[in-house]
Amino acid sequence: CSEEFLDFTPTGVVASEDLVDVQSVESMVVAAYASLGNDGLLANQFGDLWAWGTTRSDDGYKGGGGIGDQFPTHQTEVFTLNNPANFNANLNWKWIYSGISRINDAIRRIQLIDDATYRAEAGVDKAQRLAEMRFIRGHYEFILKVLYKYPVFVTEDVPKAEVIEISNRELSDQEGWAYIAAEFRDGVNNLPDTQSDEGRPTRNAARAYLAKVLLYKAYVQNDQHQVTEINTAELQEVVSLIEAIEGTGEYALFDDYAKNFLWEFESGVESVWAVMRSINDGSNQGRGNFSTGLTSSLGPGYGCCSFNQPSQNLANAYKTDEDGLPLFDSFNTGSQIKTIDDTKANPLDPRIAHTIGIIGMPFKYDPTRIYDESYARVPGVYGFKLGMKDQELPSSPAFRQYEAFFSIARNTDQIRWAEVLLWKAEALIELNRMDEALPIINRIRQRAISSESLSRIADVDGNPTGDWTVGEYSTLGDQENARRILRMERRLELAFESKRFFDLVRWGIAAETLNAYFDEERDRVAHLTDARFTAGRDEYLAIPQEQITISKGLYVQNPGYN
Amino acid sequence: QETVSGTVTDAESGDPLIGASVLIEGTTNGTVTDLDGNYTLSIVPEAVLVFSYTGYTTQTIPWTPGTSELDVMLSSGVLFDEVVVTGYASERKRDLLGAVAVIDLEEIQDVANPNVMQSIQGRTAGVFVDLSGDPGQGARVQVRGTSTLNNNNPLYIVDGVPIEPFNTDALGTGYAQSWGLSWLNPSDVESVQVLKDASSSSIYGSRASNGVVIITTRRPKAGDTKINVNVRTSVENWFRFDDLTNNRERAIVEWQGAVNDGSDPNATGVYTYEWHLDPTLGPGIQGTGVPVLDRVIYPEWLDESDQLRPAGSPNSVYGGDIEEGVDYWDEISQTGIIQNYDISFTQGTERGGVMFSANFFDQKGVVIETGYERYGLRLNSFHKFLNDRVTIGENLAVARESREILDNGFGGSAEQAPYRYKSILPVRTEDGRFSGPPGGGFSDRDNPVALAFDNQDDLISNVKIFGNVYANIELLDGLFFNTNFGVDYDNINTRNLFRTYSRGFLANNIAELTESQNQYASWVFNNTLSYQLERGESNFNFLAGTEAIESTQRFSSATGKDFALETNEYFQLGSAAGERTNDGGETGFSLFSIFGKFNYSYASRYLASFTLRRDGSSRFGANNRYAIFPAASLGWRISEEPFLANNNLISNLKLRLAYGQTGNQFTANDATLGLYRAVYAPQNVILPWGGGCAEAVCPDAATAYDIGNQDSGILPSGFLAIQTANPDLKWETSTEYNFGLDFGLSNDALTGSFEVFQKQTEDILIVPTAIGAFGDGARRFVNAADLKTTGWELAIQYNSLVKSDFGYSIGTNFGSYKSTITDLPEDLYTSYPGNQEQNIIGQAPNAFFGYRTDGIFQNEAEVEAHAEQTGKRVGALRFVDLNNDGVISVLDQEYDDSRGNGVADVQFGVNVRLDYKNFDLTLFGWGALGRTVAPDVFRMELGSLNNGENGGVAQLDAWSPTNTGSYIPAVSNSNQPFGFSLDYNLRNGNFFAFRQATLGYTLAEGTGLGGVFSNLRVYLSGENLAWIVDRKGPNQFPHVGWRVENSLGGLYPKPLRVSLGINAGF
Repeated sequence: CSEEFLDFTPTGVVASEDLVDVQSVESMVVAAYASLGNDGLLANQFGDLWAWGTTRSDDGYKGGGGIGDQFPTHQTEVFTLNNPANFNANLNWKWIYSGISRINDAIRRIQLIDDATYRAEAGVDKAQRLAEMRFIRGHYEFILKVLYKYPVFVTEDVPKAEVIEISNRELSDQEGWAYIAAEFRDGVNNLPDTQSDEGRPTRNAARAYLAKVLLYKAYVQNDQHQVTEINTAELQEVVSLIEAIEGTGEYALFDDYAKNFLWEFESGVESVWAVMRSINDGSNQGRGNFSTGLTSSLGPGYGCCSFNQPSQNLANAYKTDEDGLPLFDSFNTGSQIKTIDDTKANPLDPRIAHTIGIIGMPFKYDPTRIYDESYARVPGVYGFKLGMKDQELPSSPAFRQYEAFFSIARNTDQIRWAEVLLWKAEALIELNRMDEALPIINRIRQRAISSESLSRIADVDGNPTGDWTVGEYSTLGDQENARRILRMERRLELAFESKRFFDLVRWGIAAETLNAYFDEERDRVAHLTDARFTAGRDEYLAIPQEQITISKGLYVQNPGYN
Repeated sequence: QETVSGTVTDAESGDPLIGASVLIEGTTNGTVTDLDGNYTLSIVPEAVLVFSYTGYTTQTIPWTPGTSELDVMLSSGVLFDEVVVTGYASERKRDLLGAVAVIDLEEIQDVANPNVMQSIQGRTAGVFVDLSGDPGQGARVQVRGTSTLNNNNPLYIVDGVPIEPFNTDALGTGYAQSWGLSWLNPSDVESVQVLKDASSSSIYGSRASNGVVIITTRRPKAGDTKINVNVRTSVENWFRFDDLTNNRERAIVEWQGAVNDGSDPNATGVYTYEWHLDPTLGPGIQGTGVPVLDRVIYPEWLDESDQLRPAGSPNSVYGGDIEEGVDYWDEISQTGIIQNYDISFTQGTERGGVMFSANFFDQKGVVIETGYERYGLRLNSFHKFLNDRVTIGENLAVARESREILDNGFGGSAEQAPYRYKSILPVRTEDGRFSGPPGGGFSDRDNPVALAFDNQDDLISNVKIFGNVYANIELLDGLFFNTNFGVDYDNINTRNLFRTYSRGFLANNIAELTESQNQYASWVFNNTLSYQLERGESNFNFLAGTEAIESTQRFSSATGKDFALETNEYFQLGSAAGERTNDGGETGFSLFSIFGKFNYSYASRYLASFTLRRDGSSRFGANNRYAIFPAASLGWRISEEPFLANNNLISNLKLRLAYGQTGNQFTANDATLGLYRAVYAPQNVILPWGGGCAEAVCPDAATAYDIGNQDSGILPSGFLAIQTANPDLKWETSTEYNFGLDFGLSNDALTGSFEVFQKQTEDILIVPTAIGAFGDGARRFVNAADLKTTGWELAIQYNSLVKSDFGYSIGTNFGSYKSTITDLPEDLYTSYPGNQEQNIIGQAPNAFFGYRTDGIFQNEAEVEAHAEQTGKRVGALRFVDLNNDGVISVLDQEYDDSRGNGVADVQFGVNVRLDYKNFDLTLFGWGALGRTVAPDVFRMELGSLNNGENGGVAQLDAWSPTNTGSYIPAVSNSNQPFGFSLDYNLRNGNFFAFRQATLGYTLAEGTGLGGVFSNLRVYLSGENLAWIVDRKGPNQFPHVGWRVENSLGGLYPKPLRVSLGINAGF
């Protein structure tokens, strides 16, 4: 009697062996995709990487309720407080591996089913599903790579019990990039040209991501994270991959820059691949974008928490000369862009009005909603500006407030076409093909000043809210000058899309750029008083101490961290 | 054959003792006394008569042939002759060999706590109780401190029925274990005993390693026929909260923070300042002179839409003083009122009896919109059959409780909320709505009054049914069969509603109602055989038994959104116009046990006891489903030896030595299995401070995804791994040694006991942190980690023997323990403080690890001379460069046990009782020495974690160029030592709490007042009257006294309470 009495049958759960038929395996694939939407406010921020890509750069401050509010992000913002025990760096690492483990689980299950059965029951080739899984695994590996440099590469053929035996230094830096590139090459070979589910990547998406990986790989770093050479073979492949995409005609720039930042146009012609978001979907709070859940202003209809605030340096960077070209060396001196008076008094790139909430300017394309002092939370520390690209108006159907926090259900672009074009321009410049890069950069600049883009940021009477001036380059000059132009263009076009810090590290100019920035910015904001970038260390986060401890020292710490 | 007869009476009162046992020694011949205390017994020559009665000293009298009348007086009230329930049986306390605490219930009967465990705080050595003043909240009880790294709650047994600790479940539905016994009316309780060491608790085997609390409810006694009524009313108030800065003081602190940072104080967005630099006073922090504040200008409006005037501003519709602003502490406080009524009817004869009681307890909390209500019924009865050889009885309690407790909503706990909402904000806007933070310069925390108001219709109610039926059959002389079946049933309903609101920048746009239901149902069935045998000087006791336990839990919840009306009545799930979601699940466990016990004594001098229990649990896999828990103990009653027999001083002296093993099965019901689950989406968004699920191995992360970009509607979903199997999972085992010494002097006027113990817990059930790269399903229960706990206890009681109008007694108890983690897998190092070089092994589980500071930088020269320290500047805390490498880094941290480890060196209680004629006075206090606490110094002294909040007045005393003697570093917005574990945060936590004083007056006893009342007593009682806090030394405790008890924050403080009550018996 007692044996039976002590038997326990769990309820509401399944065992691994229950999940082997095609239908279950397809749902495991969905669960793997679902991990993309499991990003969160800060500790698991991988859908939008603002705390890693913007706050650590010269584009933005942490913001929020003071330096103690989400202190781990303050630590990484000022760099001097960087240490291996950073709470968010560790949880982010773990959450990304949560996604990778779902992918590997799905791959193992797909592999157990024969091709014909899979095709018959799922309606797609097994190879396509496998390539989808490798694509999103490659996406996670890319994030790990730019954050930690030496992540652990876990493939589907490693039994779970043996995952702990894989070192983070099995692959060198370059081998790691090659490994990630291989994930996307599989997609180039096996993904279809179109997908009926928009959340699944296409062949072109794989080409674009592969181009991105190869671009990073091309800037070869030494152990001290210095860029020692630029690999032209890879840059050539970047160019040819992007040309292949262009040949399909699938993507284009929106006529209106703003459409990239509005829910109504999500996954439109400029979106190459995005994380899908939803609302009123049977979940309690919607499967919205929680990575940016803290970045809302305190303006009417919003809640909290005023994180991710643009720097004064970034606002000034939009200043132009009379011809509408950036003030490469002098933008940060002289007049400071703080209010609408300043935007009207200085020739300015209008992309600032899509990117930064500025006192007196319309907020988020609503001419009746004027940004004011009450939008920012602790202006005494972080100033009055707030980012706008990740916002929607409270009236948007995609907007969801829950108590003080909020999310928006706009899909989160991981790659948009303008950036792909800029990669191509960057590769061409590094290949010394400046003439081919010039029209690309000018095309991006033309769109910035297009009449559609400008009407979006006009005031209530349709009048301009600033002295909007964007000129085209007649030449990029020599390679050094072309680089400078390209890098400035990336900054202006992609600011507050969480790219900037990774760009600086890729180019090998993080230390010089950021220390120069701190020297000027610390006189404007007190929280940067002790900020200083240590070259050879701060380009990457530490491998989290918890991971090193649990690995029993198998993992090797990044240089400079003790 | 001759007969002997007589009367057995109480030696002190002369009252007849009904049902006292009269036995011829060495035989089973005997009788019991009748309603008048009379007995008659056939007797043979050379017989020795044994007179015994529960709670009285047994007397042994050799019969002198020819004596036909023998009256005997038995003495009561002597500690060492109490009968103690020790698990499936009772023993005389004088024969006990383990460490067993008996709580004196008479001392606590006037205390206005709804939960009997709250009242035992400080009453007995080695039982540590933390409690909260939240209405309806329970108590956290730890027996002998920390036994394990998981749950340290003891096992509760009420009338032989265990109360299941449900909070272990994978469902994680949050049943509050701390409520524990709140359903149990304290007036129904006959006795509370705590089995502290493993030798006494191992009869409960697998779940006894945290000690066992055995509670017995009142049973009718023969001749005990009466009606008892207790009525009590209490009023309560909080002690004054820490002083928060008022509006003007807040303005000064914010100004100081800005000028210290060298930033513009007028950029903060709320206050405007007129100020200047005075270089003649010195260089100041920035080197440009000492800032001097000339004037604070308050804004006319705080918001854009001109609805929010600063509180107390001249034109405000609400009056007040603008410099004071609002005191949110006052705003959320009210005078609490407690009413307690209970009535019981008892009727008992030798052949059976009935006890029926009803009770009602109602509490209005000291925080607005909080409260607790309970009503309950109890019926205990027994009947004897077949020449009294068969006893059949039952105990049954039904109770309903409802709680209105303050959510830890968007403002933190009741304590934290006033800290986080600035006093410049009025409670309401000009048009009468609740205010909210209007924008820049204010934190994102909500109006404390509005939070409480929103809470008013939220309710947690439960119905509890608890009881047992039993039969006791004397099969042969001395051979008893006992069978017992018990049930423990809870049905908990939670109603949580969110109205829409818009307060400043906080808003909720969708009204929402969540109703959830938890059902817990357990049953226990145990059967024992016991046999008693005497052979000459030897006395044998055998007990053998089996026990089966099954427990199930069901949980369901439903949420509806969008309600046309937002009245409490309209908020029903069926009325939701919008989206509806639900959740639910079920789980359970079972246990089957066989156990035996053997007691032996020789000549009442040499005692030995052995127990053995074999448990099987559904929680463990087939590989380790069963475990055996043995115990053995020896005792020597030295005072029974001939050489002490005629000693007038030593009335009792007993040495005890005990060993035992106990177990712990505190793990998930499905802990051994590898599992996948469909989650769809988590109930709540994963919040940055650990709400929801902070772990990456989150068994709550979504599996649904909008893969088709449909944007809304039901999404495709899958499964995720939530757990990895471990078929080898087994019991956690504690091995404990206990040495005890009991003594009584001067005819037991002075009694006491001393215990020393050592406990080693091995194979602790834990979930190690998996390597991050493992990903989902990393949760895996394992047996790892060892913990060692050593300690001692001392209890001393003195009862005056003066038998006139005046009597007194004094009792004290002391308890001390220290726990050390002796082994831990590396996977768990980072669950504890530490760095690359140091870990928790060899330290207490709550040991302090962090930076050492040595004061404040006074000038630039000191700053220059110091090691590289991020943020060092004049006015900042100086960190010690422990490894002398010239840089302050994470390696400059240390374990420092001298700074405390969260555990007091000694906790002690003092209990005094005075009787004079009809007056009785009891005084009780408890305290702790050698204790370090970590109060919320960030809010009190350093400025809060978030700008735009309020803080303590201590911030006004922070270091400044004109106040260089302060130990508080300079106020700053950009340079606070957040995120660092600092010795600065640790404070001296020694205290003594004057917990209770009761003055009673007995109006009538026995036949007084015309014989209507058998007793009538009125009393006045006060609780939580004062705290004495040790404020000496550099590490002062900054708060008001009561805070030292729960300085970690979050708990609802214990209020000052005054009660007036009456006990009447008819």
